[in-house]
Amino acid sequence: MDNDNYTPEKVQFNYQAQDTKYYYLTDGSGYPSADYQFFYSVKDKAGLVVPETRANSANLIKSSDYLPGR
Amino acid sequence: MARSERLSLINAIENERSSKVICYITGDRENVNTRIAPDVTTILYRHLEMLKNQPKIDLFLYTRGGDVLTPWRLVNLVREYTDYFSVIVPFRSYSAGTLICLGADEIIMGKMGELGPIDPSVVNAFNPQDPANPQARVPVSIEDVYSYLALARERAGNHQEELMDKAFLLLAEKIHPLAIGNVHRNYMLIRSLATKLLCLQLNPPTDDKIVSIVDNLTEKLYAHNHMISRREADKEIQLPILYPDRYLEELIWKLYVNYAQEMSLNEPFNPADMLSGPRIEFEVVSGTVESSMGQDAFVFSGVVERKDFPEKGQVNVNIVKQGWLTLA
Repeated sequence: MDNDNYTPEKVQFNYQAQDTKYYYLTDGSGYPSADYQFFYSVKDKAGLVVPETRANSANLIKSSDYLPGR
Repeated sequence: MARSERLSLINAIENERSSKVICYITGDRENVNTRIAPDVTTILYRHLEMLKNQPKIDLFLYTRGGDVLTPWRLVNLVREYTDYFSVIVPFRSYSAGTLICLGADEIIMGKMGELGPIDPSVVNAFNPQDPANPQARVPVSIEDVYSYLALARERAGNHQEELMDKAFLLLAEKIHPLAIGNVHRNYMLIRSLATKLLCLQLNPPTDDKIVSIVDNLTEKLYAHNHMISRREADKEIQLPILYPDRYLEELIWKLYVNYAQEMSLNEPFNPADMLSGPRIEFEVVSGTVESSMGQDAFVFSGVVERKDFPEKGQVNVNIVKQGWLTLA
Protein backbone atom coordinates (compact mmCIF):
# COMPACT_ATOMS: atom_id res chain seq x y z
CA MET A 1 0.00 0.00 0.00
CA ASP A 2 1.20 3.48 -0.85
CA ASN A 3 1.12 5.29 2.49
CA ASP A 4 1.11 8.74 0.85
CA ASN A 5 -2.21 7.97 -0.81
CA TYR A 6 -3.77 6.49 2.31
CA THR A 7 -6.67 8.52 3.64
CA PRO A 8 -8.09 7.46 7.02
CA GLU A 9 -11.77 6.74 6.77
CA LYS A 10 -14.39 6.69 9.46
CA VAL A 11 -15.66 3.15 9.73
CA GLN A 12 -19.40 2.93 10.19
CA PHE A 13 -20.92 -0.18 11.68
CA ASN A 14 -24.55 -0.38 10.76
CA TYR A 15 -26.10 -2.43 13.56
CA GLN A 16 -29.71 -3.19 12.89
CA ALA A 17 -30.39 -3.92 16.51
CA GLN A 18 -30.77 -1.34 19.22
CA ASP A 19 -29.79 -1.81 22.81
CA THR A 20 -33.18 -3.07 23.98
CA LYS A 21 -34.71 -6.41 23.21
CA TYR A 22 -38.28 -7.38 24.11
CA TYR A 23 -39.14 -10.73 25.62
CA TYR A 24 -42.39 -12.51 26.28
CA LEU A 25 -42.73 -13.66 29.90
CA THR A 26 -44.68 -16.88 30.25
CA ASP A 27 -45.52 -18.74 33.44
CA GLY A 28 -42.98 -21.48 32.72
CA SER A 29 -39.26 -21.55 32.03
CA GLY A 30 -39.59 -20.32 28.44
CA TYR A 31 -38.77 -16.67 27.85
CA PRO A 32 -38.53 -16.10 24.09
CA SER A 33 -38.29 -13.01 21.93
CA ALA A 34 -41.54 -11.02 21.80
CA ASP A 35 -41.07 -10.66 18.03
CA TYR A 36 -42.18 -14.26 17.63
CA GLN A 37 -45.79 -15.37 17.20
CA PHE A 38 -47.17 -17.83 19.72
CA PHE A 39 -49.39 -20.63 18.56
CA TYR A 40 -50.72 -21.42 22.04
CA SER A 41 -51.53 -17.99 23.41
CA VAL A 42 -52.55 -14.49 22.44
CA LYS A 43 -49.71 -12.21 23.40
CA ASP A 44 -51.73 -9.30 24.73
CA LYS A 45 -54.02 -11.47 26.89
CA ALA A 46 -51.61 -13.88 28.60
CA GLY A 47 -48.09 -13.19 29.77
CA LEU A 48 -46.24 -9.90 29.74
CA VAL A 49 -43.84 -8.31 27.32
CA VAL A 50 -40.79 -6.88 29.06
CA PRO A 51 -37.79 -4.95 27.80
CA GLU A 52 -34.29 -6.19 28.48
CA THR A 53 -31.11 -4.25 27.94
CA ARG A 54 -28.54 -6.05 25.85
CA ALA A 55 -25.08 -6.21 27.33
CA ASN A 56 -22.59 -5.58 24.58
CA SER A 57 -18.98 -4.48 24.37
CA ALA A 58 -19.67 -2.45 21.26
CA ASN A 59 -20.53 1.20 21.61
CA LEU A 60 -23.75 1.05 19.68
CA ILE A 61 -24.86 4.06 17.69
CA LYS A 62 -28.19 3.91 15.93
CA SER A 63 -27.69 4.48 12.22
CA SER A 64 -30.31 7.26 12.37
CA ASP A 65 -28.15 9.09 14.93
CA TYR A 66 -25.07 8.94 12.77
CA LEU A 67 -24.23 12.04 10.81
CA PRO A 68 -21.26 11.83 8.41
CA GLY A 69 -18.50 14.27 9.19
CA ARG A 70 -19.16 14.41 12.92
CA MET B 1 -20.17 -32.23 22.63
CA ALA B 2 -22.10 -35.40 23.30
CA ARG B 3 -23.67 -36.36 26.62
CA SER B 4 -21.08 -39.15 27.01
CA GLU B 5 -18.26 -36.60 27.08
CA ARG B 6 -20.17 -34.42 29.54
CA LEU B 7 -20.80 -37.45 31.72
CA SER B 8 -17.07 -38.02 32.14
CA LEU B 9 -16.74 -34.43 33.42
CA ILE B 10 -19.72 -34.86 35.77
CA ASN B 11 -18.24 -38.14 37.08
CA ALA B 12 -14.84 -36.51 37.61
CA ILE B 13 -16.45 -33.67 39.63
CA GLU B 14 -18.43 -36.24 41.66
CA ASN B 15 -15.20 -38.15 42.43
CA GLU B 16 -13.42 -34.98 43.52
CA ARG B 17 -16.32 -33.87 45.69
CA SER B 18 -17.54 -37.28 46.91
CA SER B 19 -20.99 -36.16 45.89
CA LYS B 20 -23.69 -36.53 43.27
CA VAL B 21 -24.03 -33.68 40.78
CA ILE B 22 -27.16 -32.32 39.10
CA CYS B 23 -26.62 -29.65 36.45
CA TYR B 24 -29.27 -26.97 35.93
CA ILE B 25 -28.66 -24.51 33.11
CA THR B 26 -31.13 -21.80 32.10
CA GLY B 27 -29.88 -20.60 28.73
CA ASP B 28 -29.43 -16.89 28.08
CA ARG B 29 -29.07 -17.17 24.31
CA GLU B 30 -30.58 -14.11 22.68
CA ASN B 31 -34.19 -14.67 21.49
CA VAL B 32 -34.60 -18.02 23.27
CA ASN B 33 -33.94 -17.34 26.93
CA THR B 34 -35.07 -19.57 29.75
CA ARG B 35 -35.31 -18.74 33.43
CA ILE B 36 -35.81 -20.33 36.82
CA ALA B 37 -39.50 -21.22 37.04
CA PRO B 38 -41.78 -23.60 38.97
CA ASP B 39 -42.02 -26.11 36.10
CA VAL B 40 -38.45 -27.24 36.78
CA THR B 41 -39.33 -28.80 40.15
CA THR B 42 -40.89 -31.93 38.62
CA ILE B 43 -37.85 -32.28 36.35
CA LEU B 44 -35.49 -32.01 39.29
CA TYR B 45 -37.65 -34.48 41.22
CA ARG B 46 -37.14 -37.07 38.46
CA HIS B 47 -33.35 -36.79 38.83
CA LEU B 48 -33.44 -36.84 42.63
CA GLU B 49 -35.63 -39.96 42.61
CA MET B 50 -33.19 -41.69 40.29
CA LEU B 51 -30.17 -40.64 42.37
CA LYS B 52 -31.92 -41.56 45.66
CA ASN B 53 -30.76 -40.32 49.07
CA GLN B 54 -27.15 -39.16 49.04
CA PRO B 55 -24.74 -37.86 51.69
CA LYS B 56 -23.89 -34.87 49.45
CA ILE B 57 -25.67 -33.36 46.48
CA ASP B 58 -24.14 -30.58 44.36
CA LEU B 59 -26.23 -28.40 42.07
CA PHE B 60 -24.15 -27.14 39.13
CA LEU B 61 -25.99 -23.91 38.32
CA TYR B 62 -25.85 -21.39 35.50
CA THR B 63 -28.64 -18.81 35.39
CA ARG B 64 -29.48 -15.15 35.05
CA GLY B 65 -32.40 -15.61 37.45
CA GLY B 66 -36.15 -15.95 37.19
CA ASP B 67 -39.06 -16.57 39.50
CA VAL B 68 -38.13 -15.70 43.10
CA LEU B 69 -40.48 -18.22 44.73
CA THR B 70 -39.00 -21.27 42.98
CA PRO B 71 -35.67 -21.31 44.92
CA TRP B 72 -37.48 -21.96 48.21
CA ARG B 73 -39.34 -24.96 46.74
CA LEU B 74 -36.29 -26.21 44.91
CA VAL B 75 -33.89 -26.10 47.88
CA ASN B 76 -36.46 -27.79 50.13
CA LEU B 77 -36.90 -30.50 47.51
CA VAL B 78 -33.15 -31.19 47.24
CA ARG B 79 -32.88 -31.28 51.03
CA GLU B 80 -35.40 -34.14 51.11
CA TYR B 81 -32.62 -36.24 49.54
CA THR B 82 -29.50 -35.02 51.33
CA ASP B 83 -28.23 -33.47 54.54
CA TYR B 84 -25.44 -31.62 52.76
CA PHE B 85 -26.40 -29.46 49.82
CA SER B 86 -23.90 -27.41 47.80
CA VAL B 87 -24.12 -25.21 44.75
CA ILE B 88 -21.33 -25.09 42.17
CA VAL B 89 -21.18 -21.70 40.43
CA PRO B 90 -19.07 -21.91 37.26
CA PHE B 91 -20.03 -18.46 36.00
CA ARG B 92 -23.35 -16.60 36.42
CA SER B 93 -25.80 -17.38 39.16
CA TYR B 94 -27.77 -14.17 39.46
CA SER B 95 -30.90 -13.12 41.32
CA ALA B 96 -33.06 -16.25 41.88
CA GLY B 97 -29.84 -18.25 41.33
CA THR B 98 -28.21 -16.38 44.22
CA LEU B 99 -31.28 -17.14 46.34
CA ILE B 100 -30.73 -20.88 45.67
CA CYS B 101 -27.11 -20.41 46.82
CA LEU B 102 -28.32 -18.91 50.12
CA GLY B 103 -29.96 -22.23 50.96
CA ALA B 104 -26.73 -24.17 50.39
CA ASP B 105 -24.25 -25.34 53.01
CA GLU B 106 -21.40 -24.53 50.67
CA ILE B 107 -21.06 -22.45 47.48
CA ILE B 108 -18.20 -23.57 45.25
CA MET B 109 -17.02 -20.62 43.20
CA GLY B 110 -14.12 -20.56 40.76
CA LYS B 111 -12.38 -17.39 39.63
CA MET B 112 -15.17 -16.83 37.07
CA GLY B 113 -18.02 -17.47 39.50
CA GLU B 114 -20.50 -14.61 39.91
CA LEU B 115 -23.46 -14.04 42.16
CA GLY B 116 -25.85 -11.10 41.87
CA PRO B 117 -28.06 -8.92 44.06
CA ILE B 118 -31.47 -10.26 45.06
CA ASP B 119 -33.32 -6.99 44.45
CA PRO B 120 -35.67 -8.07 41.68
CA SER B 121 -37.48 -5.83 39.29
CA VAL B 122 -41.15 -6.70 39.32
CA VAL B 123 -43.62 -6.52 36.50
CA ASN B 124 -47.35 -7.01 36.44
CA ALA B 125 -50.22 -5.82 34.30
CA PHE B 126 -50.38 -2.51 36.22
CA ASN B 127 -46.75 -1.55 35.61
CA PRO B 128 -46.12 1.55 33.45
CA GLN B 129 -46.17 1.13 29.68
CA ASP B 130 -42.88 1.27 27.85
CA PRO B 131 -42.96 4.54 25.84
CA ALA B 132 -41.01 2.88 23.02
CA ASN B 133 -43.32 -0.13 22.87
CA PRO B 134 -46.82 0.31 24.34
CA GLN B 135 -47.38 -3.45 24.36
CA ALA B 136 -44.57 -3.84 26.87
CA ARG B 137 -44.61 -3.08 30.59
CA VAL B 138 -41.56 -1.49 32.17
CA PRO B 139 -40.29 -3.51 35.13
CA VAL B 140 -40.08 -1.53 38.36
CA SER B 141 -37.02 -2.09 40.51
CA ILE B 142 -38.01 -2.67 44.13
CA GLU B 143 -34.86 -1.02 45.39
CA ASP B 144 -35.41 2.00 43.10
CA VAL B 145 -38.79 2.63 44.74
CA TYR B 146 -37.38 2.25 48.25
CA SER B 147 -34.36 4.37 47.34
CA TYR B 148 -36.67 7.15 46.14
CA LEU B 149 -38.60 7.06 49.42
CA ALA B 150 -35.35 7.00 51.40
CA LEU B 151 -34.10 10.03 49.45
CA ALA B 152 -37.37 11.86 50.13
CA ARG B 153 -37.06 11.03 53.84
CA GLU B 154 -33.47 12.27 53.88
CA ARG B 155 -34.44 15.55 52.19
CA ALA B 156 -37.60 16.13 54.20
CA GLY B 157 -35.71 17.33 57.29
CA ASN B 158 -38.16 18.82 59.78
CA HIS B 159 -41.19 18.40 57.52
CA GLN B 160 -41.21 14.60 57.40
CA GLU B 161 -44.94 13.95 57.41
CA GLU B 162 -45.95 16.59 54.89
CA LEU B 163 -43.13 15.96 52.40
CA MET B 164 -43.31 12.18 52.65
CA ASP B 165 -47.03 12.37 51.83
CA LYS B 166 -46.23 14.51 48.79
CA ALA B 167 -43.43 12.18 47.68
CA PHE B 168 -45.74 9.19 47.94
CA LEU B 169 -48.53 10.93 46.02
CA LEU B 170 -46.06 11.86 43.29
CA LEU B 171 -44.95 8.23 43.06
CA ALA B 172 -48.56 7.03 42.88
CA GLU B 173 -49.19 9.44 39.99
CA LYS B 174 -46.43 7.80 37.97
CA ILE B 175 -46.90 4.19 39.01
CA HIS B 176 -50.29 2.54 39.42
CA PRO B 177 -51.07 1.92 43.15
CA LEU B 178 -51.46 -1.81 42.48
CA ALA B 179 -47.99 -1.88 40.92
CA ILE B 180 -46.63 -0.10 44.03
CA GLY B 181 -48.47 -2.67 46.16
CA ASN B 182 -46.78 -5.40 44.16
CA VAL B 183 -43.39 -3.75 44.75
CA HIS B 184 -43.97 -3.62 48.51
CA ARG B 185 -45.18 -7.22 48.64
CA ASN B 186 -42.06 -8.36 46.81
CA TYR B 187 -39.84 -6.20 49.03
CA MET B 188 -41.14 -8.08 52.07
CA LEU B 189 -41.14 -11.40 50.24
CA ILE B 190 -37.53 -11.28 49.09
CA ARG B 191 -36.25 -10.55 52.61
CA SER B 192 -38.39 -13.26 54.11
CA LEU B 193 -37.30 -15.80 51.48
CA ALA B 194 -33.61 -14.98 51.82
CA THR B 195 -33.82 -15.31 55.61
CA LYS B 196 -35.70 -18.60 55.42
CA LEU B 197 -33.25 -20.00 52.87
CA LEU B 198 -30.24 -19.08 55.04
CA CYS B 199 -31.92 -20.87 57.95
CA LEU B 200 -32.04 -24.09 55.91
CA GLN B 201 -28.25 -24.42 56.13
CA LEU B 202 -26.88 -27.16 58.38
CA ASN B 203 -25.09 -24.47 60.41
CA PRO B 204 -27.23 -21.39 59.84
CA PRO B 205 -25.66 -17.96 60.38
CA THR B 206 -26.52 -15.98 63.51
CA ASP B 207 -29.51 -13.63 63.37
CA ASP B 208 -27.22 -10.57 63.07
CA LYS B 209 -25.29 -12.17 60.27
CA ILE B 210 -28.48 -13.08 58.42
CA VAL B 211 -29.61 -9.43 58.55
CA SER B 212 -26.20 -8.32 57.30
CA ILE B 213 -26.21 -10.85 54.39
CA VAL B 214 -29.74 -9.90 53.32
CA ASP B 215 -28.97 -6.16 53.54
CA ASN B 216 -25.80 -6.65 51.53
CA LEU B 217 -27.56 -8.56 48.77
CA THR B 218 -30.43 -6.09 48.52
CA GLU B 219 -30.00 -2.40 49.25
CA LYS B 220 -26.25 -2.12 49.89
CA LEU B 221 -25.07 -3.13 46.42
CA TYR B 222 -26.79 -0.17 44.75
CA ALA B 223 -27.02 -1.77 41.28
CA HIS B 224 -29.08 -4.70 40.07
CA ASN B 225 -26.41 -5.74 37.61
CA HIS B 226 -23.60 -5.67 40.14
CA MET B 227 -21.51 -8.83 39.67
CA ILE B 228 -20.38 -10.36 42.95
CA SER B 229 -17.06 -12.18 42.74
CA ARG B 230 -16.14 -15.02 45.09
CA ARG B 231 -13.83 -12.73 47.05
CA GLU B 232 -16.66 -10.26 47.74
CA ALA B 233 -19.12 -13.08 48.48
CA ASP B 234 -16.65 -14.59 50.93
CA LYS B 235 -14.98 -11.64 52.67
CA GLU B 236 -17.62 -8.91 52.53
CA ILE B 237 -20.96 -10.67 52.37
CA GLN B 238 -19.68 -13.62 54.42
CA LEU B 239 -21.31 -16.45 52.53
CA PRO B 240 -19.95 -20.00 52.92
CA ILE B 241 -17.71 -19.89 49.83
CA LEU B 242 -15.36 -22.73 48.94
CA TYR B 243 -12.47 -22.00 46.56
CA PRO B 244 -11.95 -25.16 44.45
CA ASP B 245 -8.42 -26.41 43.82
CA ARG B 246 -6.98 -25.96 40.34
CA TYR B 247 -8.04 -29.38 39.06
CA LEU B 248 -11.64 -29.08 40.28
CA GLU B 249 -11.88 -25.54 38.92
CA GLU B 250 -10.73 -26.76 35.50
CA LEU B 251 -13.38 -29.48 35.50
CA ILE B 252 -16.09 -27.01 36.49
CA TRP B 253 -15.11 -24.53 33.78
CA LYS B 254 -14.85 -27.24 31.11
CA LEU B 255 -18.35 -28.43 31.96
CA TYR B 256 -19.72 -24.89 31.69
CA VAL B 257 -17.94 -24.32 28.33
CA ASN B 258 -19.43 -27.59 27.12
CA TYR B 259 -22.98 -26.41 27.87
CA ALA B 260 -22.29 -22.94 26.47
CA GLN B 261 -21.10 -24.47 23.19
CA GLU B 262 -23.86 -27.07 23.02
CA MET B 263 -26.55 -24.41 23.51
CA SER B 264 -24.66 -21.71 21.54
CA LEU B 265 -25.19 -19.32 24.44
CA ASN B 266 -22.91 -16.71 22.92
CA GLU B 267 -24.59 -16.39 19.54
CA PRO B 268 -28.12 -15.05 18.99
CA PHE B 269 -30.70 -17.55 17.78
CA ASN B 270 -31.95 -16.34 14.43
CA PRO B 271 -34.32 -18.88 12.86
CA ALA B 272 -34.45 -16.82 9.64
CA ASP B 273 -30.86 -17.94 8.97
CA MET B 274 -32.10 -21.53 8.61
CA LEU B 275 -34.55 -20.64 5.89
CA SER B 276 -33.60 -21.92 2.45
CA GLY B 277 -37.14 -22.40 1.05
CA PRO B 278 -40.44 -20.79 2.00
CA ARG B 279 -40.91 -22.72 5.26
CA ILE B 280 -38.83 -24.70 7.76
CA GLU B 281 -39.52 -26.27 11.15
CA PHE B 282 -37.01 -25.90 13.97
CA GLU B 283 -36.26 -27.12 17.48
CA VAL B 284 -33.85 -25.38 19.77
CA VAL B 285 -32.69 -26.41 23.24
CA SER B 286 -32.41 -23.53 25.65
CA GLY B 287 -32.27 -25.06 29.09
CA THR B 288 -31.20 -28.32 30.63
CA VAL B 289 -31.26 -30.44 33.78
CA GLU B 290 -28.71 -33.23 33.65
CA SER B 291 -27.20 -35.80 35.98
CA SER B 292 -25.42 -39.13 35.61
CA MET B 293 -28.91 -40.70 35.55
CA GLY B 294 -30.51 -38.74 32.72
CA GLN B 295 -31.05 -35.53 30.82
CA ASP B 296 -34.01 -33.20 30.35
CA ALA B 297 -34.03 -30.23 28.01
CA PHE B 298 -36.23 -27.18 27.60
CA VAL B 299 -37.09 -27.11 23.90
CA PHE B 300 -38.66 -24.40 21.77
CA SER B 301 -40.30 -25.86 18.64
CA GLY B 302 -41.51 -23.67 15.85
CA VAL B 303 -41.96 -22.86 12.20
CA VAL B 304 -40.25 -20.16 10.17
CA GLU B 305 -42.07 -18.92 7.08
CA ARG B 306 -41.11 -16.41 4.46
CA LYS B 307 -44.00 -14.15 3.41
CA ASP B 308 -43.73 -11.90 0.41
CA PHE B 309 -47.15 -10.38 0.96
CA PRO B 310 -48.06 -7.68 2.00
CA GLU B 311 -44.36 -6.84 2.29
CA LYS B 312 -41.60 -8.60 0.42
CA GLY B 313 -39.04 -10.59 2.41
CA GLN B 314 -40.98 -10.72 5.67
CA VAL B 315 -40.09 -13.66 7.90
CA ASN B 316 -42.56 -14.96 10.49
CA VAL B 317 -41.48 -17.11 13.41
CA ASN B 318 -44.20 -19.16 15.08
CA ILE B 319 -43.42 -20.87 18.37
CA VAL B 320 -45.67 -23.94 18.26
CA LYS B 321 -44.55 -25.63 21.45
CA GLN B 322 -42.24 -24.99 24.36
CA GLY B 323 -41.52 -27.14 27.36
CA TRP B 324 -39.36 -29.70 29.11
CA LEU B 325 -38.55 -32.90 27.24
CA THR B 326 -36.79 -36.00 28.57
CA LEU B 327 -33.82 -36.83 26.33
CA ALA B 328 -32.12 -39.58 28.39
